[in-house]
Amino acid sequence: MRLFASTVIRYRSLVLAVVCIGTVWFAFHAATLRMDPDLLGFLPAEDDDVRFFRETSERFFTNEINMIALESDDIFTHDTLGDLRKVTRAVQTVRGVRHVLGLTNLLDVARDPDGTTVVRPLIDPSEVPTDPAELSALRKKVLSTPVLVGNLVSKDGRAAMLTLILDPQAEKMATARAIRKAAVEAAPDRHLVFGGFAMALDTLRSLGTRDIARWVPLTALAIPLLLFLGMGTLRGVLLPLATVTVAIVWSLGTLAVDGMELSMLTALVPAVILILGTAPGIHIMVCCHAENPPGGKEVVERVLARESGKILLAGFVIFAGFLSLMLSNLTLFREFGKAAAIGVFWSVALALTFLPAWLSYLSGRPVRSASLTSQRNQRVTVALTRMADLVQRRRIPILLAAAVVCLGSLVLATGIPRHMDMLSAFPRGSEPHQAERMLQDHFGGSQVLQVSFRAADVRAPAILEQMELLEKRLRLLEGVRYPQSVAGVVKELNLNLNHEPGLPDSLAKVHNMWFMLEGQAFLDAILERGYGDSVVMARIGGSDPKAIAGALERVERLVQETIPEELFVVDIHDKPLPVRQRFLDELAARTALKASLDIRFHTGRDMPVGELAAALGRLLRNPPELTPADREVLASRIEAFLLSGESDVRIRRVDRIPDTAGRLAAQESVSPDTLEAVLRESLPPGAWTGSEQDLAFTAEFIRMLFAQRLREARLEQSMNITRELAGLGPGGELDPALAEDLAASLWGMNNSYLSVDEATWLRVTGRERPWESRVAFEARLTGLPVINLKYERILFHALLGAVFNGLVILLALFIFLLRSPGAGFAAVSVLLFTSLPVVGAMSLLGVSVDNMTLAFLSLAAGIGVAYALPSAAGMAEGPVEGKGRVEARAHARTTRARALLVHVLALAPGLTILALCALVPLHRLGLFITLALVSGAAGTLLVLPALLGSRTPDGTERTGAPTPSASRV
Amino acid sequence: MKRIGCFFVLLCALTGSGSVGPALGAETEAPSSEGLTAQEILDRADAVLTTYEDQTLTSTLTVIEADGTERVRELKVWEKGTMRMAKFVNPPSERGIGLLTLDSKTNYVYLPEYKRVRRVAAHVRNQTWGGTEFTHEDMSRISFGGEYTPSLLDETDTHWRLELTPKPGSDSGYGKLVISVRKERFPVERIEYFDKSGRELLKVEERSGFTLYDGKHYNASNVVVTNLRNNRRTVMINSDYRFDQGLRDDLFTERTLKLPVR
Repeated sequence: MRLFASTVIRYRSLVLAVVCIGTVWFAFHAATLRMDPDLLGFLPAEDDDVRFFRETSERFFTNEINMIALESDDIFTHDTLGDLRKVTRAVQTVRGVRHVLGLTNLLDVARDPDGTTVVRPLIDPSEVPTDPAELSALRKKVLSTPVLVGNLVSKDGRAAMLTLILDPQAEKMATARAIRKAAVEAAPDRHLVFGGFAMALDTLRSLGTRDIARWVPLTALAIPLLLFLGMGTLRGVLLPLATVTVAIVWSLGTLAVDGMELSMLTALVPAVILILGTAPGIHIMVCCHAENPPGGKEVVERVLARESGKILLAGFVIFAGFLSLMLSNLTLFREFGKAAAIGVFWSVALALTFLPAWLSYLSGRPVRSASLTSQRNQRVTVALTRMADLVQRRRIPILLAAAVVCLGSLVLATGIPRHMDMLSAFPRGSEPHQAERMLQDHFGGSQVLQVSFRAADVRAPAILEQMELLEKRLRLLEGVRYPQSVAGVVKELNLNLNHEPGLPDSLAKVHNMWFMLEGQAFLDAILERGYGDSVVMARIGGSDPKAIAGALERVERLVQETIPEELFVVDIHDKPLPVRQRFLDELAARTALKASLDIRFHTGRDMPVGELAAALGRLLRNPPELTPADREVLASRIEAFLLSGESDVRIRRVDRIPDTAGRLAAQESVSPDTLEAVLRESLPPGAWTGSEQDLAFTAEFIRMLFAQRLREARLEQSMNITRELAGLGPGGELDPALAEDLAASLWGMNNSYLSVDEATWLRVTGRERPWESRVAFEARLTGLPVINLKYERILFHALLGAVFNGLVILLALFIFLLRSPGAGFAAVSVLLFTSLPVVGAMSLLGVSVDNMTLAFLSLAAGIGVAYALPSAAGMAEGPVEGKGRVEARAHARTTRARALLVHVLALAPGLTILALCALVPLHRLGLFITLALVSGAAGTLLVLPALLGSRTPDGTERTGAPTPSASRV
Repeated sequence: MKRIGCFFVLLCALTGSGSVGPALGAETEAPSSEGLTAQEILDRADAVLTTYEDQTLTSTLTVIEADGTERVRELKVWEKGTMRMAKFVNPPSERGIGLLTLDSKTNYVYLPEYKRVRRVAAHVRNQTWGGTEFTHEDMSRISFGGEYTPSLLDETDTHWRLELTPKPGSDSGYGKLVISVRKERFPVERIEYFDKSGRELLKVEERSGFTLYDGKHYNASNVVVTNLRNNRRTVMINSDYRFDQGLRDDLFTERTLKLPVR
């Protein structure tokens, strides 16, 4: 090391020049360094589930969805709805907002009594209702519409929510700020709560800015001040801090040149450098101050020759420790390890070159306050010497106390929460917490799960039916609320446009309706525009991570156990009789299953599904007959048709229409020929105009009216059977939501097509599967809570792996470099004594394992190494030239101890200030790293000497002759 | 999730077509800008849109998603006065779907798979039309003058640029439009649609391929609308224009709507 020291001092001008030029160059590159804009960049990109989640969330704008919630005693008042409308309109005009959906800009599709399908805004855009009766009707209508409750309005009508989808290209935080501003200005007297990714990011930014403005300057002021108190000289402050600043610039520049973007962990690298990178600089400065004079070429060269080995040793071990993170399977950890290793490398390199080169130019005159000869420092030296003696006398109690701390922390570590909580970054009472509470209270939770259905065309009725069934099952699961999918939208449109309450049973019918839905922005959240992917979405209720995990497991099981991978579409009426009967039984069973799920959800009752299936099966085998009342309805419909412009023939003798309609409705046989004959009889030539073909078309249409009435009759009979078996009574009004659900389910009795899985097909037909009617699809659970759950497990294992790898590598290095298993284990013990209290404190404070945990633990370990290793190496060192053995050892020990104390006292109070930050990660960084500094110092000053005692690291009694390892370092 | 926008306004309004008005005549040279106020320019531009008694055309609508995927739909359109009828020809899955508008309040839709004509009342203007970048408001606009007040922004040798702001009481979904009117024959060649605040440009409609039919109807064959918010485009190509064929009123009935498209 003498050669190294003399080279640095000989070429000190060159060193300074290179550092200056390098700093400019690295600063230029560091300025180009950007934060990774990916909010979920920490997820392991190569993981299949993560890839699937990212694909799904990009496709359905999941991460672009934000919310504005408004709480009130009653949403359905003129004033509240007025304010809601103002907010809706205000945020609609914000640049970066793609789509806004709320009660006041919602379209309502309904059927007028005359059969007209009416599409109109739910609330008149020109005037919010003032009439109490009108408001009451609106309230009733909205709260009885399942797709609205829990999505746009709370069940109790006391909270309304606006859903905003942002443009993926929009700058998130700027858009969020603009939304917040526009909404607050639109309704200044309302308490609005903002939720979603962009909103949370904006809150994070605003809290971070406030913290940085308030506390970071104090920290920046405290550290130099405390360092000055410790060092006693301006150079003692300036040089270590300048070195660490240059190291930060060089490190960030290196990351930029490497093409890296800052993640939530790599952004901590400046803090890592500040905490670990100041140690070598302070070490050299203290050693120089211990000399008299404290500067000048010769002194600096001598100190550098003596201390650089120890500093390099500690630096190399910390560097290797961070580099061991490269073995992790998490990109986030690997990048952090690499960035931190680069930071350690530059800070050690600069502390051993730049700092001594600069110091060598400074005056060598004595510095009274800093010198160990000064009165104050004499007192420090005496105190440290006494402490060292005390440690030797009280080795056992000290080791016992250390063991208790370590074991206690280990026991506490088992209780660390493992569930990641996204909200943990925000202080309690902050907006994200308020949004979470409101979403919990009024909208069934903030987290959304998605079950993705992928197929050639997910609009196929077979797939829509699977989505519908999944929705019915999901809403019965504990902790899962308000499922919705495109199946519900199709059902709604089919009801209002075609007057059929269930799903269409053929793809052609869906295609026919589709042009009315195409391009609607709200569909983007549930259906891919190419129709190859669609999601069933549901909210996960509750804030207990265990409950969420349980709910997700139930959903996963449901998806795996109840959704097949392929279905075969059967044209029931195309089958020969015995097979047709069996398929009809399957249709009845399917319908019974849906109805029973509806009954259980709405009433909590379990009904005999098998019995219902059998009863519905009997109904299907014996088609319903038209009652006189049915025929009356039919007659009026035929009459309306013949009078309408839709009629293919024009009836001149309008007076004959009622009689004609009555005669047609009374027919038992409804073949087109029979009906045409009746038309001819009832309407003699001259009573109508049109071609023969027109008459045939009219007969065909009337036959269709018969079929429609028969379907309605079958629905009514099915409903009666279901009500009876469910114990709901034959008459009286059902709850509107139950009635709507049941009608949609039981309408399936009229389906001509049925989709069945392979097992059912084989059981019913005993034949090979009909490949031409196969509908293949994949259903898969995803969503942020799912990925979070998975990531929690990955993270925990990755952390354990990183800790294990780090410990093994550090232990091996310690033993190898110190040439002594005893010293190696002793140094590792100090490292554990530094890190374990951090883990124990995390457990006591209820801090869950998250990405920051790695930063805390690796920093604590780094501190342990930085403190313990020079001391452990020093204990292996022989006498200092020109002094007696005992005095030399004491001198070296106190110098190292003094350097360590200066480092702790300079950094710990400064970092404690960070513990006052509102932003939780900064708060925790301050808290845990202060703890690590203190425990590291205690470990090095108390535990290490107690462990090694008066023995050399190789276990032999000290003799004065330098050990091989000591001479090497 | 109940937002179901329907569209029952016929396609003719969006053809971006029209004819040179009788007042101008086929042989009328384009006037110079001197002496023409913004209102007069707009009146002339509006006149180009209403030069026929009836018309039929075929329209091909291509919606191009931001990722480049396309969806093509072909329709046949008949129009007379306020009555309009459109029938879907392609894709095959939509063939036979019919839309009929008798007046602003009477709309019908026919879905061949259901074999029923349904009356639909759509009280919406700012909803998109069938997955295109057109809204109901764009589709139903026959002229600009009735709804907007013009002011002259600037002019070049070939075009005037007018800023159109909604008249008081208008329920337009736009804060303003900026239109480019060519000085020769007064066709509107470009429309810029701004949001309610009038600050953000939402989409741009460009009309091209103008052809003079029968010496008096000056129609665009290509209309491209680019949505700047989602980068989607709708390209409409109109062909087979026929004017003043004496279409009978009873063509525009529910009965005709059910007839298969030929």
